[in-house]
Amino acid sequence: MNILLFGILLFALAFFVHILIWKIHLPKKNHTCFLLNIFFGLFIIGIFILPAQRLSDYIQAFLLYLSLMLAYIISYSAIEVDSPSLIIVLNIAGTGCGLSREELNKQLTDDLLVLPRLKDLLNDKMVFMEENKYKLTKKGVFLVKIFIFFRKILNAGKGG
Amino acid sequence: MKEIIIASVPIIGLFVNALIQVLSFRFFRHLGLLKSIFLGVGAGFFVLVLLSLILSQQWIISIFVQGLTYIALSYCYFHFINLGQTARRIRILREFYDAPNGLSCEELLMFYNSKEIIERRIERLLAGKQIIIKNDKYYIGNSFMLLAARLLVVLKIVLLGKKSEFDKKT
Repeated sequence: MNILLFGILLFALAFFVHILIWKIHLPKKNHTCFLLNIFFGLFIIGIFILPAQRLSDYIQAFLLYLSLMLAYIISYSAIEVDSPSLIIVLNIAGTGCGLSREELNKQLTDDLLVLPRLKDLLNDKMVFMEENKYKLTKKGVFLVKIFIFFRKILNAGKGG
Repeated sequence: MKEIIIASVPIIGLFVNALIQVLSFRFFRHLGLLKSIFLGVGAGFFVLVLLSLILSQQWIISIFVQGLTYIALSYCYFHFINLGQTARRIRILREFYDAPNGLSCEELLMFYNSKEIIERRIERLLAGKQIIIKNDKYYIGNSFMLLAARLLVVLKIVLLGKKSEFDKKT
């Protein structure tokens, strides 16, 4: 039970530090990188204060902490970026009298749905521009290959 | 050695989860993605409980701790699948990958644009009955997605001080 408490308390502490930092000074970009620094920082501190005697206790406590950390950081992107499905649902709910496809198409343009994500890719150095054409960097190729490989295993299409 | 196996039970569970999910999605297509994910999560959890019962003396606590770790890892795996399925950034990267000479912004928008994004989301929302269609207009169906959307807006306000990525910070 100590392991469970330790893992959850350490995660709660890291989450509190994250909220505190965000309230004092919200990072302009690379939120994920900041989050990783905060959570790994607390992880290192945790190694020295964990009251465990067996190796398995250490592994279990930190596996719990790391899995909670990963789950939170993955979810954070939904907070950072507006999801099209959620915008659609909120817009439909906002009218009260229904919304047609034409109205949705007018509200949700490429400027809202596609171009900000292209800008993110440029900022994250996944994509670069050469002679007015966007091309993938090595980092971009590496990432997309992971997803292509997995989509092939699933025998699924391009997605999006 | 036994200690390390006990500690690795959530990882073993995750491996079983991924294996069952992939196999069921590939070979039982009619199940659909969501059901294959649930099947994988269930199979992984079953293995986790079984291993905890066999290996651990304090199996109730073990299932509790390992179960929580496993659920968090399964959630990450679900997001990984979801990224490949719905993420716009991954899809844009895919379009660039398929064009070795690169694409201009206009060319990208020919292959992937807001209309396609809306089309796919509307299909999924209709299939999940989160929205319904009446007289060519969309209305909220079951309110789960609306609740999730509102919860996310609250989290955005708490964490980022704004309702949307396009708003200026309040």
